[in-house]
Amino acid sequence: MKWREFTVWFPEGFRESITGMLFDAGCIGTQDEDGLVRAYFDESVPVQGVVDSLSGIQGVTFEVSDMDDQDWYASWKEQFGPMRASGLLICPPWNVVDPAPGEKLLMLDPGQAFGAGDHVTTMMVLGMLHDWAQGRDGLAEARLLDLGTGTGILAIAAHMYGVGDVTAVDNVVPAIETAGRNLSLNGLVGSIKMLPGSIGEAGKGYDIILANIFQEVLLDLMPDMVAALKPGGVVIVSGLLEGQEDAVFAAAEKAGLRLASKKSDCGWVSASLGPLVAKQ
Amino acid sequence: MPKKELTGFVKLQLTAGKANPAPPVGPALGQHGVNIMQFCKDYNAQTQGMEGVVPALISIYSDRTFTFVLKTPPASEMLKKAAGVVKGSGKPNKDKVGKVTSAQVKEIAQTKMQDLNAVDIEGAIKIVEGTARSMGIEVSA
Repeated sequence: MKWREFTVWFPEGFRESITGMLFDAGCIGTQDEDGLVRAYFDESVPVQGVVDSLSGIQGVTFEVSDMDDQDWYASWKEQFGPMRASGLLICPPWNVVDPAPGEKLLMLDPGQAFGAGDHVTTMMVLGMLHDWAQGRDGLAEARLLDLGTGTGILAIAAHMYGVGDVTAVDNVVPAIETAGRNLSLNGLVGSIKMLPGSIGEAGKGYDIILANIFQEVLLDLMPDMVAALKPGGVVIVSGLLEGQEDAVFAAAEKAGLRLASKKSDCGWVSASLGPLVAKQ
Repeated sequence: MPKKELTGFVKLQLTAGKANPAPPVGPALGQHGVNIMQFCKDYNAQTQGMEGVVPALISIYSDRTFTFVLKTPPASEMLKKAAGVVKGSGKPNKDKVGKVTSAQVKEIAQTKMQDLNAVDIEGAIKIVEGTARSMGIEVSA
């Protein structure tokens, strides 16, 4: 068991006060339905106070049940099929088709991590990475860091594009587990370094860093990303909503990286920053 | 291209910038076949820099795609901010934790009006006042 679910029925006009009380008691989120709210608590949170409070409100009834972690992705997975992007055929292991000539097959089980390949931010980074890698001299010696790897899709794609030294980090444990499974699915265990943590654990001396995260984190990590680059290195950022990119570009410029190119699609922005000029 | 059909709505109340596949997101969206991680990424990007609980009303379509809009924070969050308190009272009838003015209540009611089940501003004010009472926050003139 991981969570406790409270289903609370209440008279009209009580939703706001009931919800407020539940959040004050440590609820992690609610789902609102007509005449009721479902509220969830981590199993480590004491809930006797919630039971007492709800019991004391006239007209309110409730049920409490335990909830285990489940495969909430099952229904989505049924319709997650093969897709093509930037020279790759991305297939879930339960729906594999033959790649076209020249295409590389990337097997991907999204598990509980971000990066199924169908999000526009992932697509844009794949395109930029593909452009960076194509026809590049010394690709087999190049070092790449994938920050916040999620499913590992970008790290695996980089390896398939020919990048010789790929490191991926994520500070979310289920993501690292998912990425590890995807390395195994693609026969790449040992070929890509997969580390729990963030840029501090990844070392330095990279030719390219991929960071499909979001603005707040990109702003925080920009100085560290630039410090981890080799002279001539680039950073590809993604996960920015339109309107959020200028602050990131300003932070990059302050740290020594100029905007080189930018793509936007469906309200999201990705950009290539650099190359880093060696300090005199 | 045929127009995709709206199949349902899901309303979730989550902490800004912290959506993850745990409940309520996982069970609520998973049963509709929605890409849960995609929602988390979109929600967290749109709510970064915000504080507290930010509800999202999610529209789900027949092809299992979704769109969502952010709604106004719960009245309880606004009341805590207005009263300068971190949380409401566990015993609201006995222990009062703070005060707000009726002008502040009216302002909250006006902000929340679009999302409350109230026919007019007086009805919205009554809901906000009731929420304040239930939290041990007194309303002064």
